[in-house]
Amino acid sequence: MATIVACYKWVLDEEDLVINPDRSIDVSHARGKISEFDKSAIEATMQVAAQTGDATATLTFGTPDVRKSLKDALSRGPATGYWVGDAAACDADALVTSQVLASAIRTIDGTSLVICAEGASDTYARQIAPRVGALLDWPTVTSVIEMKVEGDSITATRKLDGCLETVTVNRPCVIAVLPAGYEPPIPGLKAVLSAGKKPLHELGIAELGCDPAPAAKVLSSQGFIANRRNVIFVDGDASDKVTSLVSALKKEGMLS
Amino acid sequence: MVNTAKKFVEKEVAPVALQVDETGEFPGQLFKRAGELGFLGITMPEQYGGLGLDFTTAALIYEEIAKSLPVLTVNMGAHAELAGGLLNMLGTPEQKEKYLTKLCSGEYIFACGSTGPEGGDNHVEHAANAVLDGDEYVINGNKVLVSNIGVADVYIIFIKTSEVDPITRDGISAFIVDKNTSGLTIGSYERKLGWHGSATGTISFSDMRIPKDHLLGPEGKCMQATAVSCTNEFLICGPVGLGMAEAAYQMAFDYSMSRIQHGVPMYDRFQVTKFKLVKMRTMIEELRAFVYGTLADKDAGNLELCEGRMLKIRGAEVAEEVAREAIQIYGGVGCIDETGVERFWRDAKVLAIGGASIEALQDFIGTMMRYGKYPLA
Repeated sequence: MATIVACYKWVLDEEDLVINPDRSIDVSHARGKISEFDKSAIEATMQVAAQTGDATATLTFGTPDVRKSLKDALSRGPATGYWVGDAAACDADALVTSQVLASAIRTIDGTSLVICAEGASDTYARQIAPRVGALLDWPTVTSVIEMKVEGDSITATRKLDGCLETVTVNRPCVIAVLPAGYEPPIPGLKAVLSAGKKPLHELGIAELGCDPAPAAKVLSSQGFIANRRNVIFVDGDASDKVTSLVSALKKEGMLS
Repeated sequence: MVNTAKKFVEKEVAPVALQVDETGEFPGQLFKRAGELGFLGITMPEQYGGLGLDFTTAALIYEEIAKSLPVLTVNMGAHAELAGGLLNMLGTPEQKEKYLTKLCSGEYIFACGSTGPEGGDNHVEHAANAVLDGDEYVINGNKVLVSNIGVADVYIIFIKTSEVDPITRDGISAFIVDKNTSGLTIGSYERKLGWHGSATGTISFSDMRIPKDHLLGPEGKCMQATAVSCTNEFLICGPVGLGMAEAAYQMAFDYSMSRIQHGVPMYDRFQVTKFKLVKMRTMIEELRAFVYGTLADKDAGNLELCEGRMLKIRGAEVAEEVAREAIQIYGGVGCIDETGVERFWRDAKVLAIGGASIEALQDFIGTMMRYGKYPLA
């Protein structure tokens, strides 16, 4: 039986991040969660599996803390969880992450489709799907909002700037989905309970033969603070107010 | 588990909570979703579609929902704790297969009719009665203040089948009544102070004939099981009161921090505001300890019936006082329904009466104390 693998990232909950006055970011109280966009990837996996009857699995790479994500991921439907937990994930760049994921995918029997989110909710770098596809030498289709599967053929609708594009691709392949079309449902209590009984497979970076040293290193992170102008346009009718707003935005260089 | 409830509340309940309060319409879509998510059979056996979990888990779910839409917990409590508890304790395997599975999934909505127009909760005085005629019972009378009427697919009712023993309450029987039964009349919804959306009203029986196999439990002997299912519902009122108090407190705290008076947040300007919030918070933490301590006793099989009743009393009292003080902190704005804080006080007031009034519960506890049934440990 073919297997569909949903990849996801365990990220810090952005609601728990605190921007200090010096713009440094306090993550000390931040809890982890599955990237919101990646929940859509898992949902897409379940929707495709409902069409094909294929087996389903999740795969994630993160620090040892990522183990906390497994129950949540599996409560969303997939039957098996694969995870690579290593402290090196803390500094991993897109190259390392995609190498680890691609190597792990090679160990999962029958994988014919990998579904990722277009980007993760922390960095939104949009690199993982194309890189994993390249490393596996599989075609990659990005920005997907809808898929129909017939045998090995997938017809996907891509949402691009200003248009929708329909493409077909044969499995094995990698698909990156956008949240639109794959709204993740809330897992019910039965699904949460059964998730704890599903099989888990821990994989190690060494056994996958990956080098965890990143090529790109993050030197610093600074929070972004929105500065409000506190300008309220009150003169004239609605049309005048909109005209004043547009003029002000042009003056600020926000509109050309 | 709690995260599931939090997400449900955040994404689906909160956006329509004020609308349900305003229209008073039974929140059918939310009730259906509660069934899909497993909230209607938390403590029911897995064999019949439940989750087989403990009351502490159920309480955590009820607490979360009560923070946003208390009336949904009323709909759920009447369905799952009252009707579900009775079906689970008294039902035959066939009755459980037919009804309990659909109760857990939410496919059927259940209501429970106990209170009579005469005598309130004193079944000795109730006029509604059932007479066995061949293979059918013929039922006449009324039940009042029944929640989930009109929307319910099945009603569990308590009816006199013989003279009622004032001590043991033997003589009362429970029956399963399908909504389309001839002779069953559903009254209109009562307009109430709070619990808008509970679909509460009167159901009447006029020569209503129901098959003998719709008797739930042994004839004339359902009150012991009823005492247990009522206690379970009273237990749930503790976390419901807690959730309501937490919501009202949080709204008042946030308002006091954002409302600028004399150039500073109201919280910093007025000592009285701080003290009110500290008192509210203290009551909440006291209630939380009482709720989850008592539920731990329940889950360990050590629950005192009196403590189950105390939980409802204290839950309602704390919710009412905290919500009242929250309105006070808001001032005039708190009296405007769009603000959303005053509905917690209205719902808390009904919680202090609906299902069993604080005074009725105190009377029970007082009697137990009088006869040495509830000594200090």
